[in-house]
Amino acid sequence: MDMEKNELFLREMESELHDLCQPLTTLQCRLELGQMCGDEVSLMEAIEGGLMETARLFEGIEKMRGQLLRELDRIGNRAQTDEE
Amino acid sequence: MRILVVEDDRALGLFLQKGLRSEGHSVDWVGDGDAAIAHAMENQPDLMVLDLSLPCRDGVQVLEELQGRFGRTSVLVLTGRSLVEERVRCLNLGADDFLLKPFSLHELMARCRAILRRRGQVQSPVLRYGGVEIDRMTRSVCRDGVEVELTGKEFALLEFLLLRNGECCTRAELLSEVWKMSPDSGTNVVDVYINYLRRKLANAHPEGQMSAPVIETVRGEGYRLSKAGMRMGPMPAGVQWREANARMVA
Repeated sequence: MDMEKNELFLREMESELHDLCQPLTTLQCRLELGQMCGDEVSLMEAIEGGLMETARLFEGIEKMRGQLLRELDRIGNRAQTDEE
Repeated sequence: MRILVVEDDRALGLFLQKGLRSEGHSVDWVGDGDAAIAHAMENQPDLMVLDLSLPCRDGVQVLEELQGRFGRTSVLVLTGRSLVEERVRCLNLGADDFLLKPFSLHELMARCRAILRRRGQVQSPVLRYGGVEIDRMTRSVCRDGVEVELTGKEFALLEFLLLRNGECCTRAELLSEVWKMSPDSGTNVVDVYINYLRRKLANAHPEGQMSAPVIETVRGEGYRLSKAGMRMGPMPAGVQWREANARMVA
C-alpha cells in the first residue's frame, strides 16, 4: 500500500515538475528575446510577459508545495503510528 | 528556411516563432498533432520543432505518422520529461535532435542552425536563377557576384520567387505565403516590396536602374523571375570561384 502511495506521489511530482518547465521556458525565451531586440518596447513587453509567467510559476510551486506537505503529513503520521 | 513550430502552449509557441523569425526564417506555429501533420503534408517544412505533449495526437504519434513520408523535413523534439526510453524512441522514429525543457532560446536557435547546417551538407542551401543567387544558410544575396543587402521580408520574397524557378507567383500567393495575410486584405504591400527588390537588385548591376529587370510583371497575375536580367560577358573572378564552388556543393 505504502509502495503504491510512494509511487503515486513520485508520479505526481514528475508531472508537476513537467508543468513547471512550460512557464519557465517561456519566461527564459521572453527575457532572451527582449534582450536580443534591446529596444524599450521589447524590454517592456519582456518584463510584462515575464511577470505573467512568474505568476504561472507561483501557481505551480503552490500546487507542488501542497502535495509535498500532504506527503510529509502522511509520512509523519505513519512514523507516529509505528512508534505507538 | 521554412520552420514549423508545434507547441500547445500558445505563449511559448508564439515566442519560439518570434525568436526563429528573428534569424530570418519563415516560421509557422500550430498547437496540436493533427494540425502539425496537415501542415507538414501541405508545406513540407525544412525543420519541425515538435513538442511531445500535444492535444489530438502527441508528438510521438506525429513522428510515427511522418516517418518515411517526409524525408525532407528534419525534426527537433522538445520535451519536459527526461526519460531515456522516450528519447531513444523518438530518435528511432526519425527525430534529429532533442531539447529538454526548460531551455534557452539561444540553445534552441543554435540547435536549429546545427540541424539546418547538417541538412545543407546533403542539400545545397544555394538557390539561383539567372544572375541572382541566395544562400539560405548565410542569408546572403548576390546579383552577378555583387552582394545585395536585403531586409528579412525582402529576402523571404526573393526566396519564394527563386523556389518557383521562373514560374509566375500570383499576388495572392505572395501575400499568403510571405506575409501570412489573407489574399482579400486589399493591401499593395506585395507591389511595394517588389519595387524595393527591383531597385536593390538593379543597383547591384553596372547599368543600375537601366539594367534589364530581374523580376518581371505578369500582367493581371503577379510576378516571376526573368533570365533577361543576367549579365553577359566574362564574370568577375570571385563569381567564377563561387560558381565552381556551388557546382561542387550541388
